[in-house]
Amino acid sequence: MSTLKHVYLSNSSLFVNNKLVLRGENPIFAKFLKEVYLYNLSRYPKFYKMDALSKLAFVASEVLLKDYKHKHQAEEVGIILQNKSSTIIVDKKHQASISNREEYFPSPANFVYTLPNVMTGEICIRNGFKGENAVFIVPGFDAAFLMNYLQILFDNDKTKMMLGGFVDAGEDYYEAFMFIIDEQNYKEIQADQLYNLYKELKENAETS
Amino acid sequence: MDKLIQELKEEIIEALNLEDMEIDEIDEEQALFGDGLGLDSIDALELIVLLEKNYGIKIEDPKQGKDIFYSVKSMAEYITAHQK
Repeated sequence: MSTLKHVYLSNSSLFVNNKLVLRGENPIFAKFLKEVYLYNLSRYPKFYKMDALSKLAFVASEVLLKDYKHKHQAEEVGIILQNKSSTIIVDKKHQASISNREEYFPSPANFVYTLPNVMTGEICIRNGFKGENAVFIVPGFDAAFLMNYLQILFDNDKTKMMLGGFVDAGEDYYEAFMFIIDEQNYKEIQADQLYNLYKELKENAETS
Repeated sequence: MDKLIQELKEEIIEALNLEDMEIDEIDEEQALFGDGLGLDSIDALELIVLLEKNYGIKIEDPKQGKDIFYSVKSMAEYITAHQK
């Protein structure tokens, strides 16, 4: 597991490889996301246009990929994420904008984010990744399912590097667990080890 | 007209989530799309909603959009001419 670069964000805390690197000053989710964005990441104005879920996945991927060198082709790099609450925050905003016939003004900018796989799209656009990308809605982080899926992708020889993880957000909770896995280390990583790592990070964030 | 231009700049920043931009950074004659502010097609839809929601103006002919939304100034001129 030592070869697996990973990040974890929750409860106003940002961990990189199990180390707390940023403790947010503001407990409000949106403000914490902005703090992480402004924390040593390159300027990307489109960040401000994203919904909360995409912002969360985006900042996690930016921290994860910062200073990470690789020589893989765009088609060889992909992203597989899991999520529990789909796009509930922006879904509610959209619902509110169409619930009153007299004030019927759905926002196109909100509507385009009412699919959870948009978060993988944002990361692919930012980094030019063109490999497999998908989001699976699951009851909670399912390491066995994810590792099985990733192993199938690596075994077909088209995939050389993947971002994997669990990114979820609701009105009063959020967490992002994301890691980089590649053709060199994927056979070393067992699903139960990955799940234990996730649990450990979650507990650390709750008590930090 | 100047008051409307200022108001539009504020509304555009809010509606399009241009959080890292100040009102003074938007030149009213600067192109909103392309090389100007760099807005995209979703932003164009947001501007159409903004015009209808805040000023009660519905654009009937989509072909007019290119001229109406060329700049903040062109938007203000269109609002002034069409607001009831």
